[in-house]
Amino acid sequence: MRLALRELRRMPGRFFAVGTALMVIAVLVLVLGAILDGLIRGSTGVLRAQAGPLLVYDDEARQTLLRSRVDADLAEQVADVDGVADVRGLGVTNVTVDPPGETTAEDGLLGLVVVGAEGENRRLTPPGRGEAIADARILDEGFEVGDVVTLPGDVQVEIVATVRDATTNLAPSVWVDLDTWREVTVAVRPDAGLGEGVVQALNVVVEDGRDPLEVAAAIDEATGSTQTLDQEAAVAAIPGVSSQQTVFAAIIAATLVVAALVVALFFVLLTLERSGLYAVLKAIGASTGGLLGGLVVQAVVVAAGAAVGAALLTFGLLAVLPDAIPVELRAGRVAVALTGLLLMSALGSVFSLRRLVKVDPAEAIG
Amino acid sequence: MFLALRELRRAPWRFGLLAAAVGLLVYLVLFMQAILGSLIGAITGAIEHVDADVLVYSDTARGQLDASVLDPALVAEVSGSDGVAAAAPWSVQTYSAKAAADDLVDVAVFGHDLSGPGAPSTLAAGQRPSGPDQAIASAADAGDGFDVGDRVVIEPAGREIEVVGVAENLNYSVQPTLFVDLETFDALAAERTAGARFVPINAVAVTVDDGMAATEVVARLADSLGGVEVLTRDDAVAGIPGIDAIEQSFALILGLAFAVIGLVTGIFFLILTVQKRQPLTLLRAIGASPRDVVVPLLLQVLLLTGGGVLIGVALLALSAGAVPGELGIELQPGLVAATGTGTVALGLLAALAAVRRVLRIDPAAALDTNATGVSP
Amino acid sequence: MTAPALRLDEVSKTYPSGDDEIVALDHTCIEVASDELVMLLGPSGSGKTTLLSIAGGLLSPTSGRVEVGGTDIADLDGKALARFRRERVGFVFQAVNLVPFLTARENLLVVGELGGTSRSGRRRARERADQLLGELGLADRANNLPTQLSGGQRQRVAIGRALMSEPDLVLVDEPTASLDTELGEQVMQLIRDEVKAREVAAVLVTHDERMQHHADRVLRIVDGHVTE
Repeated sequence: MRLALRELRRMPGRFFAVGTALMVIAVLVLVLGAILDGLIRGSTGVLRAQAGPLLVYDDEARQTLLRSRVDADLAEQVADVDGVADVRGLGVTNVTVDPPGETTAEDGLLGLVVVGAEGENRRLTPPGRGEAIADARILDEGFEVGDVVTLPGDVQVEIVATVRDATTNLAPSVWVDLDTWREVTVAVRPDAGLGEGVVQALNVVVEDGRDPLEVAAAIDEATGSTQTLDQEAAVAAIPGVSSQQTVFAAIIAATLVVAALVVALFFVLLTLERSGLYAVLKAIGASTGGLLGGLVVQAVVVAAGAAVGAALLTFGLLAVLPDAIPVELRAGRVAVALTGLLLMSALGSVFSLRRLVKVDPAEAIG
Repeated sequence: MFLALRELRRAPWRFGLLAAAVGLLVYLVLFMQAILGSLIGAITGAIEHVDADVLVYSDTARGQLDASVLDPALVAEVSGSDGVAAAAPWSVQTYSAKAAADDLVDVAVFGHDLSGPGAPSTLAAGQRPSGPDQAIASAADAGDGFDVGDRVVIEPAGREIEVVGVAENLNYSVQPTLFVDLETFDALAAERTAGARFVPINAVAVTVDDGMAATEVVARLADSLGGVEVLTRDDAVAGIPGIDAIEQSFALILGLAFAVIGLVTGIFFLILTVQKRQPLTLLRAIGASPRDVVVPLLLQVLLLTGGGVLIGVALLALSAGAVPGELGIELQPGLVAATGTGTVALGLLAALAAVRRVLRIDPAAALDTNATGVSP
Repeated sequence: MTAPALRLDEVSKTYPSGDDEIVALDHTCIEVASDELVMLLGPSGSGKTTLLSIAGGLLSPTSGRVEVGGTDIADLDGKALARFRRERVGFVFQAVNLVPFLTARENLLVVGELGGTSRSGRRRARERADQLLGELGLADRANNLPTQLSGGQRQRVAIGRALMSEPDLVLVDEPTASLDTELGEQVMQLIRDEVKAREVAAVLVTHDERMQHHADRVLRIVDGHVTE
């Protein structure tokens, strides 16, 4: 063990090759994870921000806000169900607005998503009439807190605060009260069928101690025309979310396997190069298992170094990426990915066992 | 050749591992390209595969077809312009519909002039609509109830549309897509919002005179018309929101994957060359020319990267069936060939470091007795 | 009367070669007392390297019995053999074979580390290593890497390493092969002094006739046969 570490310290040059390759592979893994998180967070933020555990859609909506309509009567019915503590309306609409400042024909329009909500949730409390709480990314587009944004339908709202991780459809969100949201939506989609009191879905807060899934079933039974999901199911039902997760997870896993292969490859070469040394060590009494242990330690240490380098590189890389690419570097995923890298490296190094076994200590003599 | 193959056979594990690593990476690249292809196709197919050289949007739409609103009278104006062979209205609207299954699906319905620009370029099966309530669908959805002879019911009015023809890659916004005539399109719109005064169109599709460049017509129309944005069809496709983000994201990932391929291949062969310096020096000393030692190296690189590409392609073919949900994989032979060739070229380039090392070998060094007493 | 440091009883080693076989050792019988320094003199190809390898547990004989310090090493499995080589035998190789990235002192300590030692064991090992380095005249070179040492100094480090584990038997392969007469004399004298001071047995294998006077007993080996 100490022998292996000493070699690392005294002859680091040997390990640069595999370390560099691992680092680039690690960057790939981290970037993949960051893009996945950017996509997922940017699609699911609104739902994850909800205070209550249940979301009520109309049963023809196929579990998406866009197709769902819930009117005031239905909301009252839901409120009356046993176990329901509170019912809040929710609605989401994509809009485009002019960016702040002088607009010319060259400037793109800014895509936003207007979120109508009521009641305090996990991220914010929706403001009153004429005000809005906007996604912090809006500041990157030139807006400032205090600016007035003109939404479709000539609806003007003043940005009073910003919020993070509370958006959907990969666009910056603008949270307003429900009446404002209705005004904007009618202007953008005249066919949307939004009368007074109509929302897309309800967020239901459940009474203390009650099982949310039980209450969900009760709601659907009472109304006969709703589909009530818990947050996890609602998030999974957002189009694209589950297929993105599956595909990306597969690609990340494959990349980690590549890491194992690369470590296996380079450590076999290293073992070959050192076979003379290994013969001597075996001659003076080293066991094959001990030598393998040393290899594994080296692989893990090199991988750890590569992991640190990759984390820094990725951080810098993501900072200079064009805005178009949705990315978010999350500590949790980084930790898991890099741990996977260490594990795969350890695995790959074990591949040299065959080589190690073949080393004949008698070669040390003559 | 002899030397190259001999060494490969004597150490199959080493070289096998490299080929496996390269193969897996190539597979990842091909896989992502296939997903990218079908994803983009699903978004833009409808615009890419219609008969139109130029598209006219309203200037407030910023390249988004759905957001573009034009006065139908504009069509006549465009028709009369210089260089324009024909012009026709072109619109799209999303409706809920019932196809094969009983569930509602969102369908993108395009209204187009049956004989004019804006019609799907080629059919894969069936025929073009001859009148109202007939449609061309996208081949990708044929299995879901959008095949020739199937009937699709547009809700909530319940109008029944018969699919009479099917074309490849005709999807829009990752939705099943139907191309109907203008009469049907207007009827659907009227059924949705009763009492609309007139139905605006989204765009004007234009075909240009023979011999005219599309870009020139674009310039002319842009000059003579007000309140519009005129684009060639390619520009219109490129300008679709989201395409940019998707392409850039993929470019980043693919770039990194290629970087790994190059790095691993190059370093592997460099290390190998360094480890072989004694036998290589010996060879040179007994009369091998520089060419004699470089060529086997390059041959090995070729064989290994080529082998890796084959592994990657095989894996892709195997997994073609296993992709979930909204994405299918589209295998484009041209793209696969390009990626394969690129990988081999990259490997050869990366091996230059090893080649340099080999060329630096001095045959005279064979006479050096290296008696340092330090183990290797 | 302590067990002989080395006892080879009718030891043969043959290698198949096509339809024939090569006989490296032919029914060899040797006994080395626990405090003897025996020199095995023979030309290259005589089988002396094979004999040394078998004595040190690096090679298994085709037939015959091998006893080191009274222990029959034929029955030992891989792990036990490794332990045996760690603790009971010391090697000085012809090609010296120091670990290139370890200092002189660390090269002496490496054997102890291979087996895994306790904290107190390591302390004792360090003391012993420093003592040996002093006796070998390398006290001021303890922290040098092999590349910073002369050939003769590396040789002495190798000798030190062989003595570290207080073995029953020290096996030395061609100690004077690449040295001139004066240096060779010095090395031989050093080996004899150290081995005698520690009352350790040694078998020296060489083709160098000049060094016979350092040995207690000289055996000759030709074509696999050993004679007195």
